[in-house]
Amino acid sequence: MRRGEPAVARLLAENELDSILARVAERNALWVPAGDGEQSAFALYRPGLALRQEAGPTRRTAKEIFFPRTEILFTYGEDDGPPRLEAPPAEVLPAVVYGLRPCDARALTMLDPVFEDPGYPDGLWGGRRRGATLVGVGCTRPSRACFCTSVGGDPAGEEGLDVLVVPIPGHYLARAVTDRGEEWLQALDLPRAGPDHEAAAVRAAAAGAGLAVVDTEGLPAKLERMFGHAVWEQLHERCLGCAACTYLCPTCHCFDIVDEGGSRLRNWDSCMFPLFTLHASGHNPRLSGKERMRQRIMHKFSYYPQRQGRPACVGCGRCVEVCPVNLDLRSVLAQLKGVEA
Amino acid sequence: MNPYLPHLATIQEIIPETASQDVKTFRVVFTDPEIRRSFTYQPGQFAEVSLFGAGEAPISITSSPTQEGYLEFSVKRAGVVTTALHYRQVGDPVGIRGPYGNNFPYRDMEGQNIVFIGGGIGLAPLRSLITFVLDPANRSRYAGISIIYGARSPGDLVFKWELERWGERDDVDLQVTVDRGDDEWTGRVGFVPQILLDLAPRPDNTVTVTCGPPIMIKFVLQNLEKLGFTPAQIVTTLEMRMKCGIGKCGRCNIGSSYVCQDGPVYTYEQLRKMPAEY
Repeated sequence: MRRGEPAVARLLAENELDSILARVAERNALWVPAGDGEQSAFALYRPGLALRQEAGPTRRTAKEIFFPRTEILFTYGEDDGPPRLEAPPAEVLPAVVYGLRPCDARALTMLDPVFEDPGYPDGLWGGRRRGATLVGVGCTRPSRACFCTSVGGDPAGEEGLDVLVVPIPGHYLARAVTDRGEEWLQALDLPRAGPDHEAAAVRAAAAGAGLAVVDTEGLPAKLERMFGHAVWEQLHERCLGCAACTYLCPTCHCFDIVDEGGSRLRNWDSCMFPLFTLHASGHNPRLSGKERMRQRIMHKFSYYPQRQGRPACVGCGRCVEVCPVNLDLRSVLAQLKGVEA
Repeated sequence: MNPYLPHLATIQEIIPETASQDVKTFRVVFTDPEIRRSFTYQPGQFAEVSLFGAGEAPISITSSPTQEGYLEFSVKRAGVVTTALHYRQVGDPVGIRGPYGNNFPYRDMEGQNIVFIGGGIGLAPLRSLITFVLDPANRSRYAGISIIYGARSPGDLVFKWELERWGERDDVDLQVTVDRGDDEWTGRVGFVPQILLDLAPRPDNTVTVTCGPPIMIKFVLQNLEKLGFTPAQIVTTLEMRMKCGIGKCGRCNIGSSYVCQDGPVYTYEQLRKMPAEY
């Protein structure tokens, strides 16, 4: 898309969405948000599948489409003979992801520098990313845990998306963000939106902005001085170390590599587990919950920003929703921001 | 590109190092002659060594790039992968991917004296650089070379055949010590940090490279400072639990520094600015 040239907004009637998605699914793998509440996640579209209508993001992240919880890195054969190494082809896998929230799309752009580091590009991630057209649906109402605007996000943010769709009464207003998105929209042959629709979309997007506010201004710089701060002693006390927050975090990317049944697998892992950093010698640099909680917070709000220039948090609020002891990241950040350091 | 796919290699030789055989050196040769030619590395780098079915572990390359055609890894039997490796025989396959990490700043060391200070299996990463600087093609670039090496007992000393060769050279000052001697031991007895103080190398135009158990490194650092070495003159290499080796799996970081990519070699000057979480 040429810079400075606003993309033409198109109209998608609410009652035609299913037939349009069915058409898309004929050509490509199509991922859509499905299920409710704790069960909500992205699923491959099939006709009649009810799309999730709840506020905020799906409980499970769109990250899973690109970085599955478990996947084969290569196989080596199960018998005792010489190993025969076979890797899955590193190919571009065409897919459309419809209905991810702007926060999830933004999170993918935070994982790109990790997996697509030019020194060691990860073809499994890269192949899926390059093949995917991301059609986001803006948030017109936040969920109770959302705080995207406190960490640089926007309920109608475009970062990482190819197309942004904003729900308006009776319709969706769709606008391309990238050339790829423009092509995708043109192929659907949708009618153009009128000025009234555009005004409605602006109102709808603004409605999503009523979010919890956490002041994170200057926090990364402050945290660089806070590794040895006493506040960590009590911040972690309630944490059970269950790692649910990290499994549902759209920017967490830690993984384990294990051999099983003739395959070398990559499985999600978590810095909240004591075995994560345990050396074979028995030494463990992150021995207690204090060190592990500090690592999770510091990685997102200090270490990652030092390397990539911005915090690795999109304010999706999943960690807040899922924590079994109501350890709310927003109040953790407020405490860190508040203490003397 | 699949950066997790190792190259196949074969174990060509296994050298038991310690009396209890809890440390062995494995010499491996790549199966593909093209990889054998193209695989290059620098002293201080490591590789991920695979035992198919057991997993892989990051191991420092103890051979030197001046030794062509093979790689050597000296491995202490400790966890799942290293135990599996210890059960392997000559001719068995392994996987190798790498090399990873940064390297010893051997260019910056040119013209200077080098004092190597090693403890136990910590001599393995140092050996790559020692062999490199002692190579006839490189020796003249460096001034005096001293090696202080210690282990718990005579039986725990590794690379005994190397120690003999280094000891015979006129251009190497080798000092070997053990924490506790035995009936046959006639050499030094004492902890490495104390021997370092006794020998008192002078800090002018000298760089030190140390690796060993954490408790040894701690006191070596203190004693080097007592001897007048600045933190920039002290180089060490760290051990950390790793999986991917390429900055993605998220477990080897110390603060914002990834040991697998920004390390494992750090100067004490760098380490002092990092969180003490290693």
